[in-house]
Amino acid sequence: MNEEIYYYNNEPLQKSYLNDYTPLQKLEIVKNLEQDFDSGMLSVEQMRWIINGGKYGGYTCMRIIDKMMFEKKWKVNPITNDTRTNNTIRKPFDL
Amino acid sequence: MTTKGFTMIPNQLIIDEDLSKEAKALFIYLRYLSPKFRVLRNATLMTKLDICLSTLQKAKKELIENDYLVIHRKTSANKYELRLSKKQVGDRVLNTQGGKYKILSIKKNNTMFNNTNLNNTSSNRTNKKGFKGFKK
Repeated sequence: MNEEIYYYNNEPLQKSYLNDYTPLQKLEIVKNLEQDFDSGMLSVEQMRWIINGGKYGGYTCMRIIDKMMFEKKWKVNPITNDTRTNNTIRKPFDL
Repeated sequence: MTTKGFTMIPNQLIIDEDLSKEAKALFIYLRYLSPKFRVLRNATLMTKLDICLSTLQKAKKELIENDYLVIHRKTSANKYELRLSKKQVGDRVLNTQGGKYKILSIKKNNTMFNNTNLNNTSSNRTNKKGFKGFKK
């Protein structure tokens, strides 16, 4: 599958478990991802690269995908190409 | 080349005052292309956008300065990467509509919690001529 690199400060994102980002930079990455998705600049290929490569911001991408699938805007998970979601919606009995 | 399909353009680009129409057209044309096909010569861009070389270079410079574009030099062509600028863009159209958007801007003198205003009112009461206090 096609994958496209996502850049932060003109450098590709680092791994989620091995990086030298400060907490502020991490927050900025998350905000950037959300803002890019809202404005249509975060492609599915970039999300695929982030999640499959274990890059920082993968959880944010999963949340975005789940949100789109729960709202039934996307029928298929673009990472797995099926209808599975990463998380489930919480119900009253789950608490 | 098919005429079907569509391209998503960020609203931030449309609103941005710092960019010229040529720069916006360049961004839109590059956005229309798939990332793998964003390796282009200047001559191609000039013919597609119908602009001269100096205008194209000016448009590129504007996009680079405003963090919308990164260019990688290749041997015979340039590779273009699109980014979204993280700056706060001022909206010229919205700001000119005074009545609608100035509702939320409360004047300082009209606020109830403005200490200076309260002090002024209390001092005005005492300094009034003819008021000598209540009769006992």
